[in-house]
Amino acid sequence: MKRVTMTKMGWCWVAGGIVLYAASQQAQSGLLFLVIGILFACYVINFVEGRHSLGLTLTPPETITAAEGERVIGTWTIANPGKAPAGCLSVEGPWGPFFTVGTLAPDGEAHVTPHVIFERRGIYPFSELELASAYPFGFISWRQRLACAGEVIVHPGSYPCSPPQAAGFEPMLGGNFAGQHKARTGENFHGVRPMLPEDPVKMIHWPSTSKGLGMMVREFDEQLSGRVGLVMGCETEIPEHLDWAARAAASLMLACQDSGFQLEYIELQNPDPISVPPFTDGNAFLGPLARLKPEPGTTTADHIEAAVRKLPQRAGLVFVLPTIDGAALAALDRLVTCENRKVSLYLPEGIEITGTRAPIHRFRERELLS
Amino acid sequence: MAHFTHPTSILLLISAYCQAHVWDTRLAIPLYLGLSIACLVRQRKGAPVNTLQQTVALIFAFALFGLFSNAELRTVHSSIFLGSNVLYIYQLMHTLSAQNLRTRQWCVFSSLILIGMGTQVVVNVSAIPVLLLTLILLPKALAELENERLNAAKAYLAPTYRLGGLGILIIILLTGVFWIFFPRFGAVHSSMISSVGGGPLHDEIDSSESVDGPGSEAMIFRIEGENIGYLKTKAFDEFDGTVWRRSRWNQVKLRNWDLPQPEGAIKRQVIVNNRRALGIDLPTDGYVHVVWGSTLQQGVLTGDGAVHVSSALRHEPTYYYWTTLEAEPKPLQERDHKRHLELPTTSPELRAWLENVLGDNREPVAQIEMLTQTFRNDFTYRLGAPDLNRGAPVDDLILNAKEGHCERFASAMAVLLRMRGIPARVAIGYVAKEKNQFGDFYNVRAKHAHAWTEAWYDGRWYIVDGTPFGTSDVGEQRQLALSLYEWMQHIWVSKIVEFDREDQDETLRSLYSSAVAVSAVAFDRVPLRWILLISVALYMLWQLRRFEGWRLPLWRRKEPVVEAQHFYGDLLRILRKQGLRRAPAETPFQFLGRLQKQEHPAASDIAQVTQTFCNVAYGGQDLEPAEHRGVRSAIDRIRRTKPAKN
Repeated sequence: MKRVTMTKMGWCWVAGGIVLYAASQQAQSGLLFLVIGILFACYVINFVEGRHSLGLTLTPPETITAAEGERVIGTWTIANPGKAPAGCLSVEGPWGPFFTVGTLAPDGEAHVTPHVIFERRGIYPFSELELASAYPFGFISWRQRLACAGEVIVHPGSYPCSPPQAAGFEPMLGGNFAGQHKARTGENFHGVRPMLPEDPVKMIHWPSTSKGLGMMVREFDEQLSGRVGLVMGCETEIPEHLDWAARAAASLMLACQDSGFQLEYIELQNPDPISVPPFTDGNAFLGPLARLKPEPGTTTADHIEAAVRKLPQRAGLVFVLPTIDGAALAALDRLVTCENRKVSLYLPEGIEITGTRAPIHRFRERELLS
Repeated sequence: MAHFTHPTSILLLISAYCQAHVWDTRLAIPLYLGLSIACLVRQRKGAPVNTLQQTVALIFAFALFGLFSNAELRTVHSSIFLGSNVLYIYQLMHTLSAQNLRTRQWCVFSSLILIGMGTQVVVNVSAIPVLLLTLILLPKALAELENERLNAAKAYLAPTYRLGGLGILIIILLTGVFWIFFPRFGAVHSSMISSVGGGPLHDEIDSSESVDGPGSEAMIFRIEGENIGYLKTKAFDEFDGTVWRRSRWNQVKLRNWDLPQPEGAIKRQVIVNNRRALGIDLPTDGYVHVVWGSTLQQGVLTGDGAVHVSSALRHEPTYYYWTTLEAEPKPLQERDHKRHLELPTTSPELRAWLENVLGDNREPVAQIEMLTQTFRNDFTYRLGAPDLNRGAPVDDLILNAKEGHCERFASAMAVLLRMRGIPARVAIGYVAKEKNQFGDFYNVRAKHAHAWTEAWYDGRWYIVDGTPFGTSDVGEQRQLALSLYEWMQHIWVSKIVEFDREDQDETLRSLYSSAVAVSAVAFDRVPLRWILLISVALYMLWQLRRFEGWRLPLWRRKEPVVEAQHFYGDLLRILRKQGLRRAPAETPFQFLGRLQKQEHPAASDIAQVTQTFCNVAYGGQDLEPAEHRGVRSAIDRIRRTKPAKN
C-alpha cells in the first residue's frame, strides 16, 4: 500500500505558493501565475517520480545481528528494474532511518549496509520498515511498507564483570579451577611420579627417567569447571530495569563462558532451559535476552520453584531479577536454607530488600556494582 | 567560477534584477546586481556575518526603504515595496552568513518570492528570459538542495537529477496547464507597479496659447479593434472667450450602464501603458454602453459622453468597453441645448467672415463641410505658432494669424458653429492612427493627443475635425521589425500578463466548445466501429514501440559494443595519421603501453579511450551517455595533439 505525504519542506513551499497565489489574485497577474505554475510543475514531477522510485526490488539478509550501541552489519541488495532512474530513497523504521540511497540508475543494482546504531536491545522486524522516496525535489514523499521477512536482533550490551558463584565442580579440560587430584593430561604441569603399570607409555617424562631414578611419568593439576544456572526474571514495572537486567545477565553469562562454566539459562515465564557449554559463543542466550519482554506476575515463588526444578541440582543458582516480592524472596531463602543451594541474587540498584541469606548484588544501567 | 554558475546563485541574481525594477530608475539594476555579486564573492571568500550584523543591516534597510517609499506608494504598495526590499536585504544577509542547508533553502525560497514580486514590475517581454531561467533553474536548485540533504544523511550512491530537454518540456506543459485551469478569483485589484511618468491631458484649453512641439513617442495605451479613430477622454462646453472649461453638467453621471449591451455593440480592449498620462479619464470612442476592467474604480459615463473613474488607476490595467459607433437619435434637453450655444459677445468682423463663408446656408452638415474645407484650404497647421490675442483668440486666428495647432481650430470651429446655432463643444483625446501591421490593434502614443469639435444635429453628437492636416485620414507606418516587436509585446501583455478570470473563463469555454464540436463531428460522421478500430490500432502501435525492429534506423539505439568499436576505430585512424600503427597481434593495452613508453602527449586520453573500449567490448559494460561524451571529447583532444617526432 503506497502512501503519500508532504514533507516539511513541501509544506514550506506550499505556504510560499499560497502567498504568491494570494498576490496573484490581488494583482490579477498572469505572470505570477506562471511562477506558481513552475512550482506546481515541480510538485507534479515530484509526485510522479517519487511514486515511480518505489518500484524497487529490495533483498534484505535473513537476520542482522548487532549489539546495543554498535553499528548494524548486514548487506541489502537494491535493484531498479525500471527504465527511469530512482532516487532519494530512504528505508525508515519507527526507530529512525535505516539507510538512504542517492540515485539508482535504470537496471542498476546496489549493495547497501545500513548505518544505523540501536541503543536498546530488542527485535526490530523488517516488516516494520518503510521505503520512502521524495525524488527529486523533496516536496512529496511516497511511502510503502516493505513486505520483507527478517529482523534485526539487537543483543543487550555487555560489560566486564566477575563470574557468579558456581557450584558442582567437575573435571573438565580447560576449567579454571584446580582440584585436589592430579590428572594425566592438563595445562598446568604439577610434577613427576614413578610410573605405574597402567600408565601409558606416552606419559613417560624422559628427562627425569634419564637421570636413573627409574621410569617417571608426568602429572598435571586437575582442572575443574563449575555449573551455573541463571534464572532470568521478566516482571517489572519499570521497563528500563528489564534492560538493565538483560545487560547484567548477558555480562554474567559471558563471564561464565570465559571462566569455563557449564551454563544453564532459564526464564521464569518460559521454563525451558537452554544449556550452554563453556567456550561457545553467546548467541544461544543473547538471542533470548534480546527478545525479553516484561511479563507481569512471573516472579513468584511457584515460578521460581518450577524453574529451579529444571536446572541441575548441583549448579550454583544465579537469579537476575528486575524486581522481587516477599514470597519470591522466601522461596529463595528456602533454597539456601533447606536445599543448601548456592544462590546469588542480582537486583537493580534502588530496590531495597532485607531478611535473605542469599548474597545480593546490584546492577545499574551498564555496570555491575558488586 | 563554479560558485556563480550554481543554480542558487543565478536565481539570486535574477531576483536582484527583478527587485531592482521596483524603482523607477534603471540605475537600480546595476546597483542591485552589483550588490548581489559582491555578496556572492564575499561568501566565496568566507568570513560570514553574525546575527548582530544581520539585525543591524535589517534595521538600517527598514529605515532606508521606509524613507524611500514615497507618498504615492503609501498603503498596500508601500508595504510591498518596503517588504520586498527588506526581504532582499535579508536574503543578502543569508548569503553572507555561514552556509548550510537551511541558509541555501532560504535563499532559493526568498529568490522565488522576489521573482514573483518582480513579475509585477517586469511585465514586458523582458519577463520572458526571467521566467525561462526560473523554469530551468528552480528545479535544478531544488534538486541540488535535496541532494545536499541526502549527502548529509550519508546516502549511498551520489544523488543526481538531470533536468533534460524532456523535463523542461514537461515543466512548461504543466505550467501551462496550471496557468489555464487553476481557478482565479476576482479579489481586490491593485499592484505595486509604478509607471514611467507623463501627465494627463489638460483640464481646460486656452485657445490663445502656443504649443511648442508634438508629443513624445511614449506609449500611452494600446487598443484592439477595427474602425477606431477619435478616442475621447473629455469634452469642454463652457467658453469665456479665451479658455474652454468643463461645466459641472459635463462632469455629472449621465446614465447607468446599459446592461445587457445592445445588439451590434463592439467590444474594445484597452491596455494602458502609462496610467499617469490618463489620469481619471479613460479614452473611448462612439457611444459607450458598458466599461469593465478588473482594476477600475467605479467608472461612470459623464455628461460629456466620456468615461471617468473615481480615482486614479492603480497600475497599468486592461479595461474593456462595449460601444456603438452610431447612437439612436434623441433630442437634446433644452438646458443642454442652451448650454452648448452659449457664447461671449462676438465681433462684427468675425460674424461678417462667417457670413461670407457660409452665406445663407442653414443646413448643419453643409455648413460644417464648408467650414472644414475653408480651414483646410485657407489655414495652416503649425505647432509653435505665436500666441494669439488673449482678448479675442478666435478672431485673431480667423482674421489674422490663420495658423495654429489642433486646439485652436477645434475651439474656432466650436465657436463658429455655435454662432450659427449648432450646439458644439471641444473634445480632447487621442487619435488612433498607428495600426500594427501584424495584429488587430493600434498603438496610441503621447504624440497622438488631439483636439476636435463635436457638433449636435440630427439627434446625435458628430465629430467635426477642423484641423487642416486631416488627422483621421493619415495613417502611420512603423518599421516592420518594430511592428513585429510591438505585436509580440502586445500579445505577451494582453494574452499572458493580463490573463485574468474572464480570459480564463473564455478560454475554458472555447476549449469545451471545441471538444464538444470535435466529438460531435467524430461521432456523427465517423462510424463507431472505425473509432474502435483506430483505437485498437493505436494501442497496438503503442505496445509495439518497444520492439527494436520496428523503429526507424535513426531512432534505433546503437549497440554499445558497436559504438565502442566506432570510437576505438577513430582513435586508431587518428594515431595512424600520426604515424603510430598498431601491430596486428598487439592487444589494445599492449598498444597503449607502447604509446605510454613513447611518452605520447595525449597518453592519458588514449588510456581513457582504450579502457572504456575494453570495458564495453570485452567487459560487457554499458556505455553511459556521460562516458560516451567523455570519450568523444578525449578523441577530439587526441586529434589536436601533435606527437613529438623521434
